[in-house]
Amino acid sequence: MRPEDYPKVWPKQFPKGLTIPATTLWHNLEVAAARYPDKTATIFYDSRLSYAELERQAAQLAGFLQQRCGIRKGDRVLLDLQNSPQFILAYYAILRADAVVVPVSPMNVTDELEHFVGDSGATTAIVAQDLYPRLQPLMGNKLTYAIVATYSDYLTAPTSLTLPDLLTTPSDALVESGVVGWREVLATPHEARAAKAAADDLCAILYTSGTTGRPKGCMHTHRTVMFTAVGGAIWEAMGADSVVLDTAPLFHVTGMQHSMNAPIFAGATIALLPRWDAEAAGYMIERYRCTHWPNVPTMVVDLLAHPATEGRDLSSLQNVFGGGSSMPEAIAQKLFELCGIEYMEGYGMTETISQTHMNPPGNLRKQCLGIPTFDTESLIVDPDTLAPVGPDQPGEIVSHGPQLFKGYWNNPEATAAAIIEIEGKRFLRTGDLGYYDADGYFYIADRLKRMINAAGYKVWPAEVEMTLYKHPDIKEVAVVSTPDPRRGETVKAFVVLKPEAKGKVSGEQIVDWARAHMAVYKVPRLVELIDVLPRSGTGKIQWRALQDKEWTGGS
Amino acid sequence: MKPRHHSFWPKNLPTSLTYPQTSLYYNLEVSAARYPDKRLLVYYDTPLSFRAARAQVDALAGFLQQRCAVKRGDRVLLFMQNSPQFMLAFYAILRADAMVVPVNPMNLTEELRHYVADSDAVVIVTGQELYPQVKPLLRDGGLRHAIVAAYSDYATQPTELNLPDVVKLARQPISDPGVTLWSQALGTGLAPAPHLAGPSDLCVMPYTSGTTGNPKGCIHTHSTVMSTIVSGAYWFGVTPDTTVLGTLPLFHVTGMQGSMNQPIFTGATVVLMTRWDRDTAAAIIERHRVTGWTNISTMAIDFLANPNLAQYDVSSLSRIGGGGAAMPEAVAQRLKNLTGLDYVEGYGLSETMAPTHINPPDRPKQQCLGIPICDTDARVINPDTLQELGPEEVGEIVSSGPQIFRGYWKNPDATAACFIELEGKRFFRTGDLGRYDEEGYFFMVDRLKRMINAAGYKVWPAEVEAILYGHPDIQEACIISASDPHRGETVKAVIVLKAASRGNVSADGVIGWCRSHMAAYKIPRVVEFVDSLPKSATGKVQWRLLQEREAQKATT
Repeated sequence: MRPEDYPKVWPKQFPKGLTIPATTLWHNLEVAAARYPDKTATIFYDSRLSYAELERQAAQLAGFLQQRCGIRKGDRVLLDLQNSPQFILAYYAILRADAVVVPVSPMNVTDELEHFVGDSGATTAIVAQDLYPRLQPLMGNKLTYAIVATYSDYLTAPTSLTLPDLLTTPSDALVESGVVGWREVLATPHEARAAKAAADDLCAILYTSGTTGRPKGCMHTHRTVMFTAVGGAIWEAMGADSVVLDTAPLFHVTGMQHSMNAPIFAGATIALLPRWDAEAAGYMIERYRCTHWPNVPTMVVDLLAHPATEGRDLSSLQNVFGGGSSMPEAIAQKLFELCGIEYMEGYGMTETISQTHMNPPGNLRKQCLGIPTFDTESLIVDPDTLAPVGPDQPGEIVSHGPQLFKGYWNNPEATAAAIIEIEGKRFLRTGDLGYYDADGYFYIADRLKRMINAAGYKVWPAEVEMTLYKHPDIKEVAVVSTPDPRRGETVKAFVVLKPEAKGKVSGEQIVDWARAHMAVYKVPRLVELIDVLPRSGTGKIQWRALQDKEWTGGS
Repeated sequence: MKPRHHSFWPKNLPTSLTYPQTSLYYNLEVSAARYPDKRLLVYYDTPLSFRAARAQVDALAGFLQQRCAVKRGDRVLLFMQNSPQFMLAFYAILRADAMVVPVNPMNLTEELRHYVADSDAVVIVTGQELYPQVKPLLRDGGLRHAIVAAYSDYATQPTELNLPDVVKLARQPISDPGVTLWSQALGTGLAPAPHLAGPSDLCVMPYTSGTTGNPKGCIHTHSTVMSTIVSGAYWFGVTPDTTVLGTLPLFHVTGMQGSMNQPIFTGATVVLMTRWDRDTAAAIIERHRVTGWTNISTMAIDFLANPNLAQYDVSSLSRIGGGGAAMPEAVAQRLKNLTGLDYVEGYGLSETMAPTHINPPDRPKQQCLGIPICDTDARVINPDTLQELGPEEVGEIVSSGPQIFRGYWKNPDATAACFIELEGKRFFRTGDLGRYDEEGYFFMVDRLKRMINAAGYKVWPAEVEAILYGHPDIQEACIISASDPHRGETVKAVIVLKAASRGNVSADGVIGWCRSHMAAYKIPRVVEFVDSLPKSATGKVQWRLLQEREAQKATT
């Protein structure tokens, strides 16, 4: 199914395919700064940064990376920050230095970070002050340089909003070798060399977990990243006068593309929130007349349910877009009543740097992935035979398009397993079970892959199990999805303790241990201690049987 | 801006826009960086990429600076038909930080002499077929350099399209002093100095005639021009994958913006025609999958009247519209039947660098100017008392917005006369009589000013009269509008001959004389000899009386 197959619903103002810039992402910032130098690029709790200033500081940081950290073309640089002006500055500085951004979730703990640093070969990290202690153990061996950012440095204007603690902490003087403060970097002018990166050079390596253990790095070039940034800006009608509320995390593809790279391409303003806060989100929409809001549906649920939202003027919103989990009907209806707009759902993956599917403006459907976007072809295949199937037949969603990643970093086997060829074209196996209806709209049927979608955060049971096996008292473990009224689904662990630990270790203790060893969204909310896990004839743990019981209420 | 004009505002379009703070040349620079191998234009099947266009623009700018001594703020005449060289020269002049003075290629030496003298231009870029009109001015008329282009240099690919003779014509050698052929100028490979022009620098000065004789230069800066480039691109959703058919003359603001500057800003492709030809247009739409076509209603009428139209696939068209003259309802309906598209009309003047008004694409009205575009405040006033009028009241349309020109070149009196202040804001008086309806849409009712709109070409009676007075046998002349089945209206001369000449001069004789003294579109098609002209008590010729009599004749 391709855009040409949707004559009735394909928006008539859109081309079917896009000519996208053959330049780097950095060039987008350069153009925006030349065209709109005095325009506000970012709003961070009422503090503003202009496009000219964004470009100037990013270029200066790039010079520092090159001259002081020895960063050369193609080097990987770790980026570990919450949504903030510094995230955007660091991201574009790394690109300005011809290097590759490796953004990681600020929820990651040392064990996880060690993998990202080791696997990517990054020797320099740009990290938030509050997150630095988690990276500190890696300094001097794997990591040589760390640039430490303090969010409060960018809070220059008074605000009536309540700031989270991490934003008010003043910058610490760190006197460790290889560690330098963000302010010091900007205080010492370092000129960046002429930019050398081109469209087919690596732009970012984005880690995604999977069904088989350790997170893998998805390689994206400037061209693949440019494609969904430009495609998103066109689809969502983003322009230089758009104001994009950014509540989606920027380290993840939805936020990265729809809340940072697309707005910068368009010269739009980005209103940043580092932590999800329904009250602050409502304030930002009303105060700054936000026009666009890429999010996960739970955020809309929260915002509309929050008492402070009552009476707020949300009428400036034109496009509220999201994916990752489907939008409840009642909330979509309330959004329509308040703002006169329909929630636009889309679908994509880290491997496709956000969208492969979008719902077409004018013909949006609910709880629906949409239709293949510009230049994209999607099919449903039989997961065993890989033969394409027709309408209303369930199978695995596979997609082909310019946004497809270039493979997993240092992992040709995983790459080979993820890609299939159909009629000479490279299709990505999404691992999601779905179907398309008679009109060609795609829907999720079930997940083929073992993954838990907790309020949009993807949790990979295999990864959580691997970490839990390090617990000294755990003999066996199976991690499954269980229903949750707020997060949609959440993480549950079935644990068999070693005989000597039985009766001495509680589920709560295991949860506490998990908190210290994995990002908080992965931590099992429920631990059930049992004597034995169900196994198949070949001895494989039958996680699906456990999970089905959770969802049918049979437990 | 009045909310009543926003009832049917295009969905998701901001009413106010942030405009790029750069020169127009930067738009070409960005598109050449982003889409180097993409076609900027296709000229009778010969493509030109953005990369090549930028390289040639830079080379010509280098030549203008180093060999013709063009400096920042200088005026350079651009006297050419629609061609790749028009677009390249336009941007080369801007790259050299100078101001483009586009001149209608129908003008003759005498008219050109005024533009040279008034603008103080010493450099002209022209087409070889127009060079004979330029030559006398190189000797004595103030011009020092002429760069002469052959359109055939850019139509090199084989094509079965019907090429106008002027496009087929091979490059001719010219050895007159001061003349450099286009190909030689590019061949020198001179590099331009760093680009200096910013938003407030002079950009382009289209001449417009008026009620008082000689044409006046409308001063536009990069920022006034940028404003309608950007608002038009947003209004119609132009993207790099848009392909526009360029049939309107590029020297005039509608074509300049819609068929050149907007596509260059967005990275779209222009399929350019030098001469209007309905079969060639249809063949080009089919072949190059043209998506947008801005035209004048007379072209659309001719296009739809083509008996061969059904042979062509024009289904790629997703937007068609224009301005300059109202679209007849029956023709708009035929267009809708053929393509499913509404004809979207707009309205603007040389002083406003094209649109102040456009119809909302999803809810257009016919024979309608549209609604005021982004950042534009348009009102209707009583032309005598200058009081603002309400819905359905007829008065003069006045406009305020970022596209309004900076004034007439070296003509502070005319500038002062065309602006008024309302509520502390400066409004431009269009001289057009109009009204707006309860939904905020504007309509043209009549012209307050003396002007004839002949198939979109604006003819200024005062200018034609001034030339006619140069005829040895003419004592007095008054130019009025007469109705014409094809052109809508046309030019009529009411003439009083000198006593000695009466009976010795024919209408054809006067028309023949006009041919060598003015651009073809200005020439009176009808000449009536009378014994005297009606005059007011102060002795002014009462043209309005003659005009009304003519109108009555047409209806009886």
